Amino acid sequence: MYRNGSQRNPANNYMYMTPNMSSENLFPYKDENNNAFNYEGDFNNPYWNLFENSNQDVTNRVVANLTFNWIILKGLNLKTRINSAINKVERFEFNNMGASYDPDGLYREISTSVRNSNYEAILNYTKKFNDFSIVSLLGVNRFDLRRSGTRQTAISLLQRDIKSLSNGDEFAPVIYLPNNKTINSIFSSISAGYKDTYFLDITGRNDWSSTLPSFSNSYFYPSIGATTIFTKFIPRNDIITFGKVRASFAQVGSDTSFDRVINAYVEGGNYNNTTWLQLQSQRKNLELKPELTSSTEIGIETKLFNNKISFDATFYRSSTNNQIIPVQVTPTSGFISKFINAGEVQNEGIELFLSAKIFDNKFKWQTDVNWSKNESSVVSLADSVDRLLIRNFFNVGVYAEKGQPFGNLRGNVQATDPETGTPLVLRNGRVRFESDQLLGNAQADWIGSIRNSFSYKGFSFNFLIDVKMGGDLFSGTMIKSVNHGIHAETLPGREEFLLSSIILGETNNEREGIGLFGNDYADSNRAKGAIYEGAALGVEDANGNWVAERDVNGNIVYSERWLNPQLKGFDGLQDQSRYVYDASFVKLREVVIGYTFQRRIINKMKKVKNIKLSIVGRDLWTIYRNTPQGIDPEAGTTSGNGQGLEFASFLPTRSIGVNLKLRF
Amino acid sequence: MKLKIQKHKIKAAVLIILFSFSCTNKFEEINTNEFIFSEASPEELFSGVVINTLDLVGGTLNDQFYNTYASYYGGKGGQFNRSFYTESGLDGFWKRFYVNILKNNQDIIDNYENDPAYTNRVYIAKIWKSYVYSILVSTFGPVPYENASKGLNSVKYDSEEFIYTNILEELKEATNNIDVSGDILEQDPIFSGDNSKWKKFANTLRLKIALRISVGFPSLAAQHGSEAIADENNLVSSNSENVTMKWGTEQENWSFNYSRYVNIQANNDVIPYLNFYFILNFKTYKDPRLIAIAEPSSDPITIRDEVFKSGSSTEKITVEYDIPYFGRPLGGSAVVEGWDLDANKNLLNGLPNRSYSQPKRDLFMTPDMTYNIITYAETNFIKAEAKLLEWGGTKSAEQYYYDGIDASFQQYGSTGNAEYKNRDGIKWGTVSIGDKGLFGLVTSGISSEPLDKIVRQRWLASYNQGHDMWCVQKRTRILPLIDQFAPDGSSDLVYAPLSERMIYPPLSEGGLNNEALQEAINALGGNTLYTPLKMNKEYTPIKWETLSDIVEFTQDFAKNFYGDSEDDLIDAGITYKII
Repeated sequence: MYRNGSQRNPANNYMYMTPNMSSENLFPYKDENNNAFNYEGDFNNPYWNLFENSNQDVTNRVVANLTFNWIILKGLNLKTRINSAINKVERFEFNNMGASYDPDGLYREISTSVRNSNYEAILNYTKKFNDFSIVSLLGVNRFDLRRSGTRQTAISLLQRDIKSLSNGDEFAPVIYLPNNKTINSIFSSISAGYKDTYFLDITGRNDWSSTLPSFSNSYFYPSIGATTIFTKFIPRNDIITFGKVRASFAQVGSDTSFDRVINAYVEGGNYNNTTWLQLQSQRKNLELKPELTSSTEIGIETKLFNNKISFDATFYRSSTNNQIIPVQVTPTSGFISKFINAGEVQNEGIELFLSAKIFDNKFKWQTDVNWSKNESSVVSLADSVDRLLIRNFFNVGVYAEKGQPFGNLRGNVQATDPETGTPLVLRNGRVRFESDQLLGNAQADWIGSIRNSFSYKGFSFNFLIDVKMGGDLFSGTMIKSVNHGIHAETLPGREEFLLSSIILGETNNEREGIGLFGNDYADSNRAKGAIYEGAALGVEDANGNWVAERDVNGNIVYSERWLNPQLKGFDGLQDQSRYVYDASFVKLREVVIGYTFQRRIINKMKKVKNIKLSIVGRDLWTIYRNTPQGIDPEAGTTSGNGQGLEFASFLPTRSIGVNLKLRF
Repeated sequence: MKLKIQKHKIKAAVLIILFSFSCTNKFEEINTNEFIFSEASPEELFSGVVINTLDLVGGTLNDQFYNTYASYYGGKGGQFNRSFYTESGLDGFWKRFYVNILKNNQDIIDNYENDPAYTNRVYIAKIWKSYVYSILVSTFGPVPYENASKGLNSVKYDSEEFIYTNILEELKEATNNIDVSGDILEQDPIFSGDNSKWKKFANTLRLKIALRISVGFPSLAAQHGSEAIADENNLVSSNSENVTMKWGTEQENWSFNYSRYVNIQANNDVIPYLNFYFILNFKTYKDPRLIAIAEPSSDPITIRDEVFKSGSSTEKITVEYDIPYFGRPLGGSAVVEGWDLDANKNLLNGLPNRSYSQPKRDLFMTPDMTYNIITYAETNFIKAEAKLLEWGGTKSAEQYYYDGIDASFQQYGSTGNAEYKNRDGIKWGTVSIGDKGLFGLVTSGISSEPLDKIVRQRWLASYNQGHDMWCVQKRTRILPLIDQFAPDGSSDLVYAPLSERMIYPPLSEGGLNNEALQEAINALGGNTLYTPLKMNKEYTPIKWETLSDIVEFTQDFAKNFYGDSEDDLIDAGITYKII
């Protein structure tokens, strides 16, 4: 699957297609020699990409478990366990010969074998005496990850249609894909309860990870929590049936991925009959430290009105220290990015959950509501730096900035007069911009969901609605579509501009209101193209700041500079705030209609205890969004850090499926 | 029985516990990728450095703006070619310069500097470092040099003077200390291991850079220039000693032009066309090298011309024939607003792009074409100027000048240099009026001024060395060229004079190395395309809009293309029609 700006991504091709193209222009997409037709401009036929390129993933997985339980004494037992999973993945990527962007074709095979194993031994001890109960354990664990794999690419093929490395003519260097890790741990926990009402939990764990440098590969993290079931000591009442309050402080340590410590050389290619090497451009870190997240949490769980209503609430604050992330660095250092321990990021928020059984007889109706709000903030960054660039696209960057929420988007914005906010333009009527301005942040103000479940006799029906409010999305798709003139936003001003420039032969000066001989142009009120409404020419004041042009009386002179709408569209590359949208949405996320077969039918089938048949539909309907038609508010260029950018993303897919569950 | 099972259970449990608990030994081994390399030899690194330099300087940058700035290409599109820039393009260039090329090259120096078995190879890496930095500093101005390639978070920019001083010193040391019988760079992509050629390259490059900064830093230039030219044996002295880089026939090594314009069958709007004024200067002096450099038009224009009747020198007849060689002005068909020109008087009016002359396919569009770093012809012209500056040299400037022309003819396999050198304007001490350009404003005439002659010939001989000739024009301001009349709209200019430099990458340097960048901008006095560099000669751009009185479409480029007589047409074997 090709993403973002790849010529092989049909969603990207679509942005280069002129609006009056029809299937007659797109079919056939290749000639008698099976070569793709060449089109004017940068357009690639998406049908070529759909029919001539293919890919496939085949995964085989074996899981094995082995458990031993040894009861040593009363209350003391030893449980040992080995879990292992082996995944073998065979994957290929095929671009047929004859594409306009790659006539020689391409075939790539990726083959990996991953083994995940856990070896664990836990000594459990439980004891009850007087009103106290104690549950404790002491354990050791070894986690192994071993992956081997290769990626082989034939960069040109011998014949069409054959998907095999033996069909390769020229090859890129083989890339090996090891990924190995071992974490050894020792851990212990004690839970003490008093009268089944008060509980205290204390845990401690130490990990040793192979992915960190030897002098900092050991990290310890404890936690402590207290819980009270307060309904046990308040008088019985009909309102609160069950109530629990808890408070905890916990730390979690974390390591990183394979091979982030020592820099090495990789194969770059073959030139002059020499296989050449180059230094890896991502600078590794000989001084990596483990990540540590500390969080404090207070929560309450209640069941009200005889379990008819559940209400839970949690408040939390957590801070992550030394988060290991790749950040971009100045290329003049010799590297493109480096791994760092990133300083401190804090997250705090609330999670609320409410569940109500509105009807609970033969006809059941239950509603579950979730609501949460999270605020993040970058407390400090490494190396006393103020800002780190996480990701960038189209000159819009996603940053971690000190003192700000994580993930600020920054880019170019139209300059404005400092006093009045009047937008400013250049002498030729195009946008005057300021760079490095704050555009927004992908983080939501709050998110929530509501699920309603109904059941009557054997039938059940539930639907889930997902809501996200707040958060910004920058759309690269809009920039490109406007640039290419295929979006309706580019229509205003076209006819006026053609009348002005071609039919009347007006010059740029005349469109700006200046006549041939320096006089005022007579027909200055007529629209001659596109214009920045309410904008003024930017001029420099005495201090070198850009302000709006004013007349002798100090009033702002509004610009009458009419533009070729194409240029106003191109200006989107310099005024990126135009394409930042509110990414709030309300979506119908899931609908499930099910039927549980009646006892009478099941009893006839031996050994079957239960049969349930359901139809599931996902992402069926976007009920509310603020992004333009065709841009999914949940789109993004990446699934990692660096949210808030979208480019040539696929439309959200609706899926409908059937489940049959048999219980023996 | 029960005890046996119990014992088995104990053993199994203990085994599993022991199995699971081992210490941190072998952790380093586990975290090492055995398929990548912990070491790299100079040969393994240098080959990559060269192909990356070739792809960037000879490929991308030439195509994006160097060849346009040198007036080798005309009418090429794209924001760089239209005297503007793209931020992502600039970021990409700096990544390739500093991460792909300079860091890997520096690695050779860092790892092998103290090993006596590698002395020559370390000097070779230092020569290359100086070569690449000479391009960076004359393109951007002050750039990070001393603290670059060290993995630092913040890298300061060094002044032009500092960088030039250091690279000239390094080239001097390399020239003096390479031991011809010492260690050899196996698999040497430039000279196949010939250390004497590396010495010559270092010394010639030293002379070339000295000349480049002779206006901006005269005493530094003279110091190094005179030493370099005094060591005349260590200068490129024949076409077989030309310093070149060559692309390859394997797909990963295809030349930029082949990958971009031939393999994908690019459409006529994007392929490069030769510059109008470049071809004009060949046409005026009936230069045989024209057919070696330019591809005849696939759709030639038919002109009406007045020539002397065959055998006569008084009677004139009108003939009609096809012109196969003509180029595009920088701004394509753009004119300056305010010029009231009658488009019907322009033969090039409305001509489709494909009609213009393209660079010769055999030389400049093959997968394994060559890019010249320094040629023998160019070296002669450099020596000629060095002689004018009184740095030294055993021959006269005039002799070097003629040697350069001969060398260039030989390089292209053209004959007729004796006749050529005798023509008015080309011959030392003579003057020519030349042909007027398209707008009647600049001509291909040559004055008797030696510098005019030398630079003009150097320009004609150095096709595709876009960066070098851009620097020559910035230093001398003497080539007869017009400015870019179709600048990119974001530049807010009606026409754009020749850029003094290229701007710093705003996103990667501004976002990631901002403090050092701002200091550099303060020292330079700005960060636009027109902020002058110290190496550039001071210059007042022409105000083209004030020339509306004298501007008119002139068709000299097509007049008397083969000569002023019908006999010339017959000699050249051209089919013509008498009107």
